[in-house]
Amino acid sequence: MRNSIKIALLTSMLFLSGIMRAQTAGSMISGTVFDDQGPLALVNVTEIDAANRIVAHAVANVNGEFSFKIQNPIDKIKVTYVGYQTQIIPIKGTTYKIRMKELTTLRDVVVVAKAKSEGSGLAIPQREISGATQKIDASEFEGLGITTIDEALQGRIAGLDIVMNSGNLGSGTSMRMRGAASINSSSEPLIVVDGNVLQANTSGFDFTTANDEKFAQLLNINPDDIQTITVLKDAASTAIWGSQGANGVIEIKTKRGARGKTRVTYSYRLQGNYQPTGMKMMNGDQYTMLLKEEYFNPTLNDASSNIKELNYDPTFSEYQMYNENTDWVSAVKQIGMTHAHNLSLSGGGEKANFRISAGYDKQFGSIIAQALDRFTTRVALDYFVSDRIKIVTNFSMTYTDNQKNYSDLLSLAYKKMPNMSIYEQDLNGNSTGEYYQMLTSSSSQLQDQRDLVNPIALAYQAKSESSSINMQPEFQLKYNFLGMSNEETQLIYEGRIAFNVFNEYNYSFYPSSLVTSGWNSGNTNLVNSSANKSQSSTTTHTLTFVPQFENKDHAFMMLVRGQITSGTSNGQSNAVYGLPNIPSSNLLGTIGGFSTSVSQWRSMYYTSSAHYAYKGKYILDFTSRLDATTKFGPNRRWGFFPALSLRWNISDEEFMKKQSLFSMLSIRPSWGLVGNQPGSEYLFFSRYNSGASYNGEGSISPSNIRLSNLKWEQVEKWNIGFDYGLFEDRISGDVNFYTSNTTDLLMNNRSLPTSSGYTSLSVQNTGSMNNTGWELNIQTNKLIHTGKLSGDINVTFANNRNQITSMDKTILNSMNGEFNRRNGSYLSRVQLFNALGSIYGFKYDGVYQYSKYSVDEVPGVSGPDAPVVKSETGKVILLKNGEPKPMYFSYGTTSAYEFVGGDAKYEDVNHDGNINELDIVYLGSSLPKITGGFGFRLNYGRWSMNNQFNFRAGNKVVNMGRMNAENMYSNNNQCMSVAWRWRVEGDKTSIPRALRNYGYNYLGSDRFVEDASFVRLNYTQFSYSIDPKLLKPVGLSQLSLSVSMNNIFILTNYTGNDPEVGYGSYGVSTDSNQTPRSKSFTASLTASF
Amino acid sequence: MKHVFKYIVLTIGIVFGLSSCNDFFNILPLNEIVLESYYTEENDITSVVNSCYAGLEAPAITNGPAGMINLLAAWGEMRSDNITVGSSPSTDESQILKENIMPTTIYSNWAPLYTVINRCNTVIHYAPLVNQKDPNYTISEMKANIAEVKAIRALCYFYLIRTFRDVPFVTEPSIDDTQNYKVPATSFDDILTYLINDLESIKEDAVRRYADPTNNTSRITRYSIYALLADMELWKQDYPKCVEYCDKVIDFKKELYLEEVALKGNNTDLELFKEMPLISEHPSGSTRSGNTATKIFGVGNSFESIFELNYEENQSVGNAFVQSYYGSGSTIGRFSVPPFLIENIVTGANKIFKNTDCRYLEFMGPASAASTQYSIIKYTRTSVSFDTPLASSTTAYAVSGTSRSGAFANWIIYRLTDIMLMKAEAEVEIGKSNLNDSVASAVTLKPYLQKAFTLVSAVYNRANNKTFLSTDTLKYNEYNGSASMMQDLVQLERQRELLFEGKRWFDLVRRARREGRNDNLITNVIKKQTSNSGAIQIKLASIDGLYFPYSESELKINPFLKQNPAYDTEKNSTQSE
Repeated sequence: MRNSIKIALLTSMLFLSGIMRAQTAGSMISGTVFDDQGPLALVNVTEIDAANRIVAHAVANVNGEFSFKIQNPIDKIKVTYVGYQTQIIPIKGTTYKIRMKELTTLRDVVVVAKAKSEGSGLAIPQREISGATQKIDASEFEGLGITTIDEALQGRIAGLDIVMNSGNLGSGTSMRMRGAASINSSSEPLIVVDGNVLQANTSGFDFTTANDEKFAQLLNINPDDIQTITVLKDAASTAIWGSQGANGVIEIKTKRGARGKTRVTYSYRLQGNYQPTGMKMMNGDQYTMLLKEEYFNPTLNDASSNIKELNYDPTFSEYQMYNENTDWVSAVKQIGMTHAHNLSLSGGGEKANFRISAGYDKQFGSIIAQALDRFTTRVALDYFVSDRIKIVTNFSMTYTDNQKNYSDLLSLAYKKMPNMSIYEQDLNGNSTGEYYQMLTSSSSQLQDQRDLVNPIALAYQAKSESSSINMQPEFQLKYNFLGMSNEETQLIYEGRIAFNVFNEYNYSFYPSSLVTSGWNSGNTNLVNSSANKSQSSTTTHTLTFVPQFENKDHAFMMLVRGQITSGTSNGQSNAVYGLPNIPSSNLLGTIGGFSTSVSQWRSMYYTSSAHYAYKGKYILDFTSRLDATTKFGPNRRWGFFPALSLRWNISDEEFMKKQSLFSMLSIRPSWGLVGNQPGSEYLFFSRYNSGASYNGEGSISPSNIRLSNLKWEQVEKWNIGFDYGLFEDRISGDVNFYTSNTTDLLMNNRSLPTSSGYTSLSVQNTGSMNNTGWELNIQTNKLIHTGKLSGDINVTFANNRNQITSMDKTILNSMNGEFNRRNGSYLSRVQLFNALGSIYGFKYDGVYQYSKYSVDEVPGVSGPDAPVVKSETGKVILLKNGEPKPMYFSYGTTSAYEFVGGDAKYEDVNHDGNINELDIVYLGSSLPKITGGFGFRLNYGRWSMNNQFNFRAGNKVVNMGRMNAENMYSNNNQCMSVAWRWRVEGDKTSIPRALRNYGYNYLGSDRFVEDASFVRLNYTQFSYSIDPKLLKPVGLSQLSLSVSMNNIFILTNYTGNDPEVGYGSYGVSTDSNQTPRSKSFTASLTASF
Repeated sequence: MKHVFKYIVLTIGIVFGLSSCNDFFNILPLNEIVLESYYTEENDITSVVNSCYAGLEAPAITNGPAGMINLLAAWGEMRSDNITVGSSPSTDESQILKENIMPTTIYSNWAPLYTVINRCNTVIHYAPLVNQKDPNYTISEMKANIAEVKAIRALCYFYLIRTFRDVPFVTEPSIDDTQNYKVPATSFDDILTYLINDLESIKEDAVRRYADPTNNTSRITRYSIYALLADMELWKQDYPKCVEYCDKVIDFKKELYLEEVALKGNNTDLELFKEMPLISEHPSGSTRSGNTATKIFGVGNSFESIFELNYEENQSVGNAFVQSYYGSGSTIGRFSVPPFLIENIVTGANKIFKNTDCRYLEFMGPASAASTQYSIIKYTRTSVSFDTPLASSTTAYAVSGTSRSGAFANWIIYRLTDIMLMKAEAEVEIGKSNLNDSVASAVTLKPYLQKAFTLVSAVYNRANNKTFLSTDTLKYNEYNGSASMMQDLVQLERQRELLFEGKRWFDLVRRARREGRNDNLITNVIKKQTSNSGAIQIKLASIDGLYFPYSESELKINPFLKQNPAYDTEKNSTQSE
């Protein structure tokens, strides 16, 4: 902080001394201003110095007369008036007659400057960019029913795989740029807004365990405020971000004010959303039937299935509450609504530009009792002290209040027994209006159902609220030391200070009415509250040098930048239970948990970047970055990350001039190193903590092994890209091939031989990994253009292959779990030269038709499809006594089990008659073979239609949701497919028999591993903008209406709710039936005046 | 223009000048102490020393290692004939009780011991540094602290080698990730020799008596080091040394006894049995027995104690082992008493306890009406009292007592009778080694048998209340026939006296090591097995089978560890016909 004050002082001195340079002359000048009609009143007459800074000023009176004292005779007089051309006159003499000319037509804008990249680095002309980047204009997303920009980006950026986390309000997405380059560190790309890294507290933020809402907070920026999004993919383009940009960078540029009349824009969006149908669950009658079978089958004894809640016995006191057909799933669903208002004011004049925007969203989820309020505001102000000095200030704030469900209602609803009623009923079956909870005296077999609280009651009686406020003030100063136009040698200093303040408060309450395990339970009137605060400041200094050469073939520019960041965060949480029936943690109760945390982080970097172009054809870029962070020890603190990239614009060569096919053809090879740092602080200290006391005296002991050897995870990236533009850029895009090698992979909680006194090292550099792939991006510009009709398409494809290329054997061993012989679990394995995300399990072969074997089927008694051992040739193996050898599960262990008819049949891969870990095979990978999207846009006059699809193909997902709904192992409700279960000898089906807590019918097998390829219509939008001529009379300059439908159509073979499933540990995707993304209809209106 | 360049220089200066502040990166944890600012004064060392003791009481961690006491007690007791299945033990425990030990068992996770070892190593490493920094921390204080933690470290290793035989031997603190943590196992003998030499070099540095009397039994003293050395010498089979260290302990207790008598006169619980000062079962003036168990196990920190883990009532960590494994008073814990130990005592048919023995009433509970299992009541009661059993009695005496409510039973590592019986065991062995065909055994062997017998009968007589019986119940003549008879007597007395104290299995293993045969161990252990005894006998026949397997997860990350051959079988048993 002291440093930043020092800098602020110095920089302010810097421009104060600039003002003192002006000298006074003191002579008076005067004159009149007029046009063809006569004198003009209220005309601005100013004296400007060489830097266009206003040094004296006067306003013409009703007669068009003005007079003022001039400051310096070498200055000029500038005359401006709205609707007239600005005039600049040298100071000659003391009286002036100034004739103003009306601005009849807008000047034709002659584009002198080439389109430039708008990133945070050098302003390099678009045609000279040698890194792999892709840019999207946010105007394409106007009127869409999206709340965060990542939703709109899905399928638009080649190589950026975006997956929605869940359909709950406020949950975000998880993003992977060109595959995951790291195991434990974050694989999310860096998000930069107007040159500032958007980042929550990095030290306390564990990316591997972070919940979806945390990511969402990172991207809490109103889509209406965004102007462009640029995605930087290869090391050369991300190099100026150094280690932060290892996973790619998404640069967002927000809208700013522009000179002109103040423009007010208001938009309103109304969105209705609803949940997809999902699995069809059993009703109460089917459920009780199934459960009776489930209890009967393992023991073959009627007594075990005699459970009063399932018996429909009118003498049972709770009979009325257990004779229902409740559809819990539809009871927790609803049609959600979102109202989004957005207002912005923008404009500017001589001295300043501004844009102020405010947005307010009110969302109601498609699951009951969810509500989210979000308020965002953003103020952008540019103040031109003179042509040389510009002061910029930005302020943004986001406030979110999220009323969540206490826990996932949908998953509760899928499990809850459907013969139970939602409300308590009287003897005659009339609802009393009270939510019904299973009694403590309910059958002990149904204990797990008792623990599943009534989801409707949970929704309305329990509370879980999270509110956060995030403020980001920023101040910038820009100073042009030398030339001010692009034709002169320029030297520009830019200094900026950005602050980030983030406060979050979470509160949850679990009322005693939902507790079924007794009044002294730790859940009774449980209040959890936690508060987190973090604040950080970033100071950046940039010096850009753009020399001009005599020979215009040479173009060169360079940049030097230094940045320091420091931040602190602290949090506290407490849990109190057993409170009186007033939910507040300040009242007396039993303390269930209490914790506080404090952390601090600092980092520093230097970047230098140089760009050289010869004739705009041969381009060379070199960037290097020095990064330092407090996360490493003094010896390993600094990381050096250089990057080099070249570009050859082949289409600019003489020999290409003759052809007209390619308007752009270039080749861009690049190479670069980037780094990754661990997620936590203080790793290189040996830390001492207090522990349990002995004999009443406290103890302190070392708590970790200090990591003085820990170093930067390094990623070496190669990229070769081609840019093309066909038919005058009517079709354009790029192709990239890349490979990246991660070395010194950082891995958290690495097990250590316990003989060291510790069980793990918190982080270790462990091995290396490779990601190779390609991506293709095609977009068009007025591809179809006939009369009023125009149309465009965009297509992206990407592919990534990931494998671990080296790793210590002991590390692999310890990552690979042992087969636990339990139903429902898949073996986690990480193997060399295999991709992360591989799924291993048994091969499912259907269901044994009969218990008893016979060569020919004896209907209802025996048959060839029975659990007997078969040799590789399919011959049944006989025991000494002539009986066929029975098939076992894990023979010789405590879990040994002999299969019978109706049991799941697993392939005995090694034909040893024993289904065990040796029969586990590779079942596929969770990593998609290809990802991408496509879209098309048609305009007809004032009508336009916009469609965007995204797809992923070739990835497998473990459908845990279906497993839980088909296993017939517990008291949970099951889906309709189990109606086809095996019931009697001879049944031919693919669904095994019902067995409660018995047997091995749902071992991790390919039965639940599904292909999750899909094509989704992300959105389709129709919009119409009303002719401005019609609007003028009512004072509007723009009025447009649009209707869009999001996520209404999906093509997939996947049987779960939504094939879009994020990555779990070691990259395996597991769909545990989280709330799927809702479908929605949106109507929106935008008006400007 | 001149100005302009001045500014450029200034700005660049600002930007790059920052690099000079290396302080910028020196941020320290705000709620922890770092090594660099630790170890400045005496307190810093004593706090870490205290953490070594706290580590000996480490509680179980969910999905992690078992509690320290669970390990110490289970290793020394669970496989012996003293323990059988109680009320719903874990799968691991019931498997071990069936002698089906898997490398995945939680009882192979030795992490809690190495955690303590590392803390001890840390103290040994940094104590000299503090001595240099803090003038108040004298050399003798430093030496005493080092002796203290070296003893704790030796105790941990001693448990480890008795359980696993060869284990990784680490004497340096783990501070930095540059150190090598993949350490091969060092042999049992090498470790034992190192430990003995190490303790011998520091034994005189340790504190004799602490200011706070509770510390005299709950922290390492010079005498706990002697006790530990005596035990280790017994395993090393250096019997004269063992006797030497036992005598040092016994002499000290005699000295204490004299002090006590000088202070209180006859008004003391203590009584001399064969010149050995022991707590009396039936102190003068009392009509009931049970005083020994009340004082030693119920109250704790008794006169007889040499080193025990002290659990204070207000301490956050309790002795959960006693509470959940031995039960709480009347309820049966996860473990119970095998019937042969307790049944038929009053009829005189029991081979272990006579009906006059107070200990069977103090240590074991009768079968409850609901179950046929017998509960372990040693440690689980704060007081025990019953009518002194008479030889003529034919019914079991009713035991009254107070059940312990919290998990605050102290856990005894060494106490006086343990040392006396160690000495007895050593004396028999000395006698055996003295045997020489040319010299009459009356000269070479008998004096040692006599010494051993005196010690055993002192222990035995205390429990079989000598004040009511004019003569010794144990008769020398019945045991002086051969060394092996006396050896069996010592072993039996150790079982009776130290029942459920985590000693029995180690007694059996020590004897098997000494004899090179496991038959004595097998005969004893098999008594509690009700099924599958044939297979268990085969399993136990190999000397390797007496040790625990290394943990599966440890083998995965330490390639230098070689699994004990008894467990290194083909992992996947296939179906046999």
